[in-house]
Amino acid sequence: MKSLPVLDLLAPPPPPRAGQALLGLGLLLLALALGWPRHPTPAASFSLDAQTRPTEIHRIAAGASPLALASVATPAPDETVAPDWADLFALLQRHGRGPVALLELSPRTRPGRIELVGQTPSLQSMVEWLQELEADPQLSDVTLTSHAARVAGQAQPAGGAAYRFVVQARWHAAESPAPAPNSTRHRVQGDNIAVSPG
Amino acid sequence: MSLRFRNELRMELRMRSCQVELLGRGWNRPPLAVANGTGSGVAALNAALQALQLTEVDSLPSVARLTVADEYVHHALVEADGGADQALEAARVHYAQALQRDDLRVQVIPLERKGRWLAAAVIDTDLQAWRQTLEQVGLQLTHLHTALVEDLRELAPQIPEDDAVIALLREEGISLVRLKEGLPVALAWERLDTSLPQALDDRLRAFVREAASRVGVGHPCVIYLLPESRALCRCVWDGRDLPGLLPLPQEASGSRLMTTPPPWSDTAQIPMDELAGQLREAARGPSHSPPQPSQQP
Repeated sequence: MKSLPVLDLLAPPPPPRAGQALLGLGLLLLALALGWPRHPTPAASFSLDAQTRPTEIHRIAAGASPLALASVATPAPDETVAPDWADLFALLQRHGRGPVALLELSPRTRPGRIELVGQTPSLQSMVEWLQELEADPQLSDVTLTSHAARVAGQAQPAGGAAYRFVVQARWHAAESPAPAPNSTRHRVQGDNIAVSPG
Repeated sequence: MSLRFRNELRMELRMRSCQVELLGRGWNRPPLAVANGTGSGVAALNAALQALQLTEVDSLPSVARLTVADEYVHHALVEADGGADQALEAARVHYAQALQRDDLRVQVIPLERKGRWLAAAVIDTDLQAWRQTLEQVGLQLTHLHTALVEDLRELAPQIPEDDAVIALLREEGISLVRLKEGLPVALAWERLDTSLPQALDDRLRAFVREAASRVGVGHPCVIYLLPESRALCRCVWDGRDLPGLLPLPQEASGSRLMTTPPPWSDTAQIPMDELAGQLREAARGPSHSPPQPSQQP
């Protein structure tokens, strides 16, 4: 049995679409908690810029508690920028054709990386698709993290797919080129991403 | 568990008695004070509040919840597309036609996204009487609930089945709810002498049959009975002791009953084409009649 909502005869009637509004509010709060929007706003860019100022770090370190010192001494996390959804949808349009079917997309699996789950009828088409992703200027370090074949006797998936696989790749903003293999440092400032050799 | 940010007073009003609990703030805790009153209707509420004032209560809270018995409330299921305003208007129209009165306080809650609502209505004069009784002791009625909905909310975690009948025994009758897909699809209030077991049995059978034919559910079902002791009882009714209920019509191959066989796991589900063939054979006469499906009476 499903639970019923509260019935209060003295309460005003529930507003239309109250459930959707609450859901939207919850998603918005969740997105804010996760750091959306990823392109830094002016305030956010100031915050990021302040974190990279040596004088600020030294000032914090000089009078901070051991815990604060530890946090300051911790290397900065990967400073690559996660993609926004428009860029991801464009990516799906570019690579969503052919025998490979995309099942899932996770933009924040790890900082600066995206994760794709797909299925394909043959390993050959999977390898070709990985090569296609590797050639995409917005992606690098394309890595096949897992793959699985359909066991005989299981129900045949739609499209005849027999292999399911997971791919991770490093994401780069549309206007910035993929880094050279030895480039590992990224600096975030405003809406631009500057890539410099590490 | 529930968290209360303020002290609150919970009152449960029945036809001839009333129980009042003063609850403190915080997570579920024992009541700070409990009082009971007897009498008819609002007199019981008044007696319980006066008894509460005799306890060692410093001050009465500002939150006062009153839950009234089913005898005071008219419940109904209404269909309305759109939002709560449309549902509320549909409920008012329903009550105006069914009860021939418009002096009602009406409220609705959504049951699902397909436009079904549960409506409740109390008579305005009753509401005013309850309010005035509370105001006499310096309380303001802030929430008004119905026992039916509160009991269903409380019972929901204890009822795993999505298809069942719930019978809630009250002082002057019984509230009956037919569940389908986990939500009420039929409601009934039967006024009867609950001390007579046969009367209860007859009303329950009639409700099962009526709900089965009206909302397209099978009459073998799980029945939950909540007596005054609040000890929930469960029984499985296979329908075989319901003589004459849902007789198999000759043209039943397209009936709603046969197109929605009961979904219980212990019944044999027969493919629809095979079932239709059997029914056609049965309609030709006894000499051609194959064995009947096991779930049919």
